[in-house]
Amino acid sequence: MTQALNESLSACFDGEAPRDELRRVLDESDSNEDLRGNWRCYSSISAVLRGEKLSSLESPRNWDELAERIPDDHNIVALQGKRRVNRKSMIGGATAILAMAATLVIGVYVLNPGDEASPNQTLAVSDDQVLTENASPDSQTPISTGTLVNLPLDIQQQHIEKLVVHDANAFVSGSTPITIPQAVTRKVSSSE
Amino acid sequence: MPVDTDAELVKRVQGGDSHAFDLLFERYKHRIHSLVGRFIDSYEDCEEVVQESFLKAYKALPRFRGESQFYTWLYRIAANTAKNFLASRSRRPTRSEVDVEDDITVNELTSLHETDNPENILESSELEQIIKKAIQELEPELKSAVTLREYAGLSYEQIAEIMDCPVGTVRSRIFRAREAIAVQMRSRGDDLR
Repeated sequence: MTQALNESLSACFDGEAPRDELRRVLDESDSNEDLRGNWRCYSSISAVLRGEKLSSLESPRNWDELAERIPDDHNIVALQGKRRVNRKSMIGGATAILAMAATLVIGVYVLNPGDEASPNQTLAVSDDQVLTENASPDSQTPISTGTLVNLPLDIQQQHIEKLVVHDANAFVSGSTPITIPQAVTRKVSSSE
Repeated sequence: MPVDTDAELVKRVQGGDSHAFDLLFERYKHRIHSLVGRFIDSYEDCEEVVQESFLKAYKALPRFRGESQFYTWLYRIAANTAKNFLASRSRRPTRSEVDVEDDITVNELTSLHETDNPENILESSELEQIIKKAIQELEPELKSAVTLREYAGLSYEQIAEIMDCPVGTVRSRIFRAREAIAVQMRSRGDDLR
């Protein structure tokens, strides 16, 4: 039983134990000093194999009491994860927008080869969004970009291009900028 | 399916189980000591900063959201604490560069532990030698398994592929290697370190 428990502890130390086993070992370690001693041994062995210096510090066991004696350091919270922008999804998103824009532009040119727009011509927006000029106001439901429907086609095109550029820039710069107080930024950068 | 041991321990600490933080402390104290040692030469100063880093982490843990790995977060805390410590030692810090509170903290903690003596440094060095010797004496299969795990940082599955054996065998070999080394450590009276 002890051997099995220690083997479980070893697997937990490596982060290779399933959830149930991990919980069982951690529950047991609350009251089992041998298990805690083995955990310390495994940690020292790990350090030596990794070429790290051994610390001789021992767990104070009164963390709450000692922690009371140090002031709150609010900067520490800011040290946890900085949001990372996934470049792949960024590029993918920008590509999708550009493809959609190209579809729109091609659709406009194919359906409107001349400079003048015919009264009942159709502007292809996408596969499932088709808008008709001169339709009744009720049917002129604005698409997500707003007021395309009743504008001349060349203006619509310019408007679309502006939106595409704007959206692409938003992707590149990140759509939700992270605001970090200056003091925190200084602290983080000074640690690197 | 293996789960993240650190995440489970952090969850327990956040739920009020301070014993779980002991395990995080024991797990990472050497690694943080090595990190701090890159900034600070003195062993005893290094230990002070390590302890302060863990205390800061413990205090802030209720607000840790788990957006990064616990160790990454702890690493940043320790690096900042070490740099603040150096700043406080090299010159009187200005409020804009180093928190005055940080300076007070380090001085206060100096009296909280008794590690800054030659005996402790010697013990650590002796322990290191014992572990190294025990590793050399391991059976080749055990030595390979534990080295691939600890030195190369491979998962059990990757080690199983390399050693051409089941994952369960890897798990068993790593455990047996650790046990064999731990026996040597205990026989020198250095157990429970």
